[in-house]
Amino acid sequence: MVLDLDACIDSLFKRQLLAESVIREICEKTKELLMSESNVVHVSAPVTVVGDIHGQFYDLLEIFKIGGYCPDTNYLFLGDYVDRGLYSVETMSILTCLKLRYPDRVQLVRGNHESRAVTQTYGFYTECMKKYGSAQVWHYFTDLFDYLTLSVVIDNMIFCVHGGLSPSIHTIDQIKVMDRFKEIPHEGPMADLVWSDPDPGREEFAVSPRGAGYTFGSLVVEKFLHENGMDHILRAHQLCMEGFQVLFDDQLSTVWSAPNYCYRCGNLASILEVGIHGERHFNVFEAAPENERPSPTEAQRSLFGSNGNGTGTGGGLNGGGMFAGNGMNGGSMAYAALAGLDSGQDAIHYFL
Amino acid sequence: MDGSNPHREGLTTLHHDWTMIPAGKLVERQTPVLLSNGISAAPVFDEAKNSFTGMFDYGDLMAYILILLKKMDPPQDQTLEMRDLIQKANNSQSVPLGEFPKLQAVMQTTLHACGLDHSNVLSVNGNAPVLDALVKMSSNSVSSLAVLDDQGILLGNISMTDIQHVMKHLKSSWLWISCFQFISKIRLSRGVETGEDQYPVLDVSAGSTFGYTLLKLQATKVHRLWVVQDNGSVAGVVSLTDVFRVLSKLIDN
Repeated sequence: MVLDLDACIDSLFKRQLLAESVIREICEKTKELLMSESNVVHVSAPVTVVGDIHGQFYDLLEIFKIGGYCPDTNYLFLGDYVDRGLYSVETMSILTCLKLRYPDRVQLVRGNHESRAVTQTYGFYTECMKKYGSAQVWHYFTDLFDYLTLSVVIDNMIFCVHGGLSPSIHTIDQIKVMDRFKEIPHEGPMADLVWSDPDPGREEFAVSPRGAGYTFGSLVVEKFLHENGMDHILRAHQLCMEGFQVLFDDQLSTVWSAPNYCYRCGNLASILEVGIHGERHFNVFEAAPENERPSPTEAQRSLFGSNGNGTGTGGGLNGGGMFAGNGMNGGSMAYAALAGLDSGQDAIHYFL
Repeated sequence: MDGSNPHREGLTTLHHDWTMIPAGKLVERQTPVLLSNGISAAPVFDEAKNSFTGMFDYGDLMAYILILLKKMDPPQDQTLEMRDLIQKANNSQSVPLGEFPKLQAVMQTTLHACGLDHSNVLSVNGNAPVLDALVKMSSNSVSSLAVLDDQGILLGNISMTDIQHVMKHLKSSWLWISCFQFISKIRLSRGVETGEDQYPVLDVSAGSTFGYTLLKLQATKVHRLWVVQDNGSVAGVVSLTDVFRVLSKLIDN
């Protein structure tokens, strides 16, 4: 198949889904590309770092608006491209195409949501079933996830990973020799890198409340930076109301790029712009304007046409008022998990 | 800790005041009360004051043990008695829970060696409706079931508390969705509240140590952890009751 990546990217910017066979092709080609990437990819500034996106495609478009489009801007994405949001498929599709089209300008790091077990629970699997009528696209993407790198180092000074540190990992070299080409295990260093969180109240490691990975404290951060000759750790993985958070005396930052998370948290988001002299600037932004969001019908569309599932009232979505104006609520996240149900079922709203 | 966290089913989350009773005597006296009555919390009666002065639960006991083993930071607002206790532990003086080294040895034993990976696990298939899970929990008098896929691999945990929580607010049509869909929805909502998603399956491997299991129970605030083999199939379960059964043997010896 002759792949016209520019045409694919164009379609995706217009919010059109790619055909299943095209997805298969871009995933195959991207896997070949990623196979030769180290578990620790070295890049140079300037680069713009993006945190969790979670299928919030409109906010990804916002990121390109404020940060610049590829290839004019170098991008480093820290993972969690899918789940929870309504457009995980479009988000993952466009990022895969951009990586394939501009391999040296786009880096994709694996997040804890780039996993078969997690995407079956948190929405991506269901969204693929709904939009393509089968699990095939989910298989293509989750196979691709196994190839995503685990970390990036900017100018030998900033260590970038999705989650955080591991008690099993003291040096960058230890990460380089890991076998990453598999599903993320429940435990161990690979799990820790994508699941761990910093804890400013602690000095050492502790078991994480998430059920995977660890929490780590100030002494752990200092030791890691010192042993590896670096001065900053950059990660994502945790919601930040202000869009970012700086800890441990500016030795660690969290960048979060999904504004108004799940369409109800009301948080800001940010992207981190790293300059050629190592300067770090958080570019903070709000959720994309309401009037650019799609109507419920458009959100329901699948590859089989806009009413593919006969969803006049929206299969599983509440009739009327769901997306209009300020009608966003937690129920819209249940959409992804509801997609297997008959349209006769009630919508489930989490008013928690 | 507030009283409304659905993860803490079976455990009281009422605030307690450690000043009321010397902590050492508390643990010595209260643990057998919990175990022999099969309850998860007991009111503490202070003979000197001739009144009930608080509640003692498994969470308290676990916190105490973890402090004892210096794996946890002492609480900020510790009382004089608690400070005494911690100092005793640090100086390896005799502590109410029996010999320190024996406790350490147990903490380092694997779950397999403790025999905790041979329980009869009650489970439900992920595709079965929630109603089936409810019926099974009810007829077996358990509050939780492992949710398995067709190959017997652990997908998650479904508990009575989750179901009750949902039914308080919503319609009974939830009873007919699949167990897997149900636990996904629970996970979806919880992650939004905290801004942090949890791992879909809260488990521990049969080769993990008893001490690590305690730490994970404490950190994740769940009532039980499923014990799994390397391939992800369920071999047993470790609940707080199991934890204290193992520990109480040390007290008896």
